[in-house]
Amino acid sequence: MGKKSEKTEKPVEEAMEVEEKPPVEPEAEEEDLNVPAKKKMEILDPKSFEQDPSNLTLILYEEDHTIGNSIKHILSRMDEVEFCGYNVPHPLEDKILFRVQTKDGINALEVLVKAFESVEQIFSTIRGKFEESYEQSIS
Amino acid sequence: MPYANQPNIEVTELSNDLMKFVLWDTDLSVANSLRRVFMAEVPTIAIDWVQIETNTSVLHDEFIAHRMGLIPFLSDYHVEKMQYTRECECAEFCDECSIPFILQMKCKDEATLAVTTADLRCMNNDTVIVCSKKVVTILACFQTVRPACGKALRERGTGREDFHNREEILIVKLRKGQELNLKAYAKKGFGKEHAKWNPTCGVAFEYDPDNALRHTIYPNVEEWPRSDHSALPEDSTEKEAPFDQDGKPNKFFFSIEGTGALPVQRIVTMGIGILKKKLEELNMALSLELQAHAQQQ
Repeated sequence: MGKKSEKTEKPVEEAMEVEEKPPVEPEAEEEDLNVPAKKKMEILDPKSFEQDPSNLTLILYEEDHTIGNSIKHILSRMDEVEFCGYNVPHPLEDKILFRVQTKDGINALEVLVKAFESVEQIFSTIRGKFEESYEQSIS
Repeated sequence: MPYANQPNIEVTELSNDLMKFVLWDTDLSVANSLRRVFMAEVPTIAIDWVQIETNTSVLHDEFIAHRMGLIPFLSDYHVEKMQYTRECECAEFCDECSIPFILQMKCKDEATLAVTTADLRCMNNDTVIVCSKKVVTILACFQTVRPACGKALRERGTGREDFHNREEILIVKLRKGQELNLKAYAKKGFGKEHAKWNPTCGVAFEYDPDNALRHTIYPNVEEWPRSDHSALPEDSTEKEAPFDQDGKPNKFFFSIEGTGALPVQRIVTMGIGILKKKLEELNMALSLELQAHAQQQ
């Protein structure tokens, strides 16, 4: 028993010695981690997306139904799209998961870019028409 | 655009703090995005930090701090120039992201003293503008961050009758010898974070006024009140339109009531602007992902 404990103690000491050096490194790592935390989006399981670009699950940070639902509506009307949907994993987590399945050989990211542009276009039209109508109503 | 039909919008009613408009030829999701963004993401200014030096009033410190937070502030001139504190470079408070206020009141008379928003003094230099010329004072009142009530609202709505009976907001009442002495910072924020930053106090959103789509079931059809937007004939005995199986919501009736922090039309334009900005940012991030993906292949 005594021998065993001696043996186990040694590696612990070594580990302690090693640990004295890195304190600087974890800090640097933490800062690195902070940058992706501010990232607007992230591909869930990028490896499977590389294998099959028609299958995409995207995490959108700091977004909710406001964006999710209108994007879903546009995507579901696109011919290239087989399936789409979004999910709010938890009300206290400020993110949504967006799932797009496109038809064979079509890159889901490219389709998503088109959808964003469409929605932006819709809101531009609404803004233009609103301003027109507002000017009329005050004059 | 191939997948987006052309939405239309028409303002049907407009007053100082109420606007009604109709949106049609668009999807429920788009209309709902608008409603959500007006309430949760249009920024205003509200007190977010209070330091109480003396408080011998009947209300405890937290109670007063909470009441300070709920005071609406005229935000239309300042809010777009201000920074969110979390995005600001300063360590604590600076002119870019906060506006200091002080409140120093002591009751020395037998009568009760009502401490109102009129007693709240802004400590920002550029807001202390003393000028006899009327034009400049009007300009100054537009540029000052002040509680959206009483005198400030009356001055903003010059020539508009319905502002004349707006009263100052009561914070606390003091008895003889009681004192309230505090410092507060107003900050920019939005409704998603705390309801005090919500620029609206009511957003009515209606579609399918005659319930033709049966998205809801009237428990007692006879008791259901007739909608203002109903298309049924006035003398109709029917309360609902016949069920439309393949129908989709197409026409949306909005009615937006502001708190006074922002003029209603600003809530709408800022809301749409925020949505557009969000989509632009998302599109940028998406193009980056796309580039990264292309490189890997």
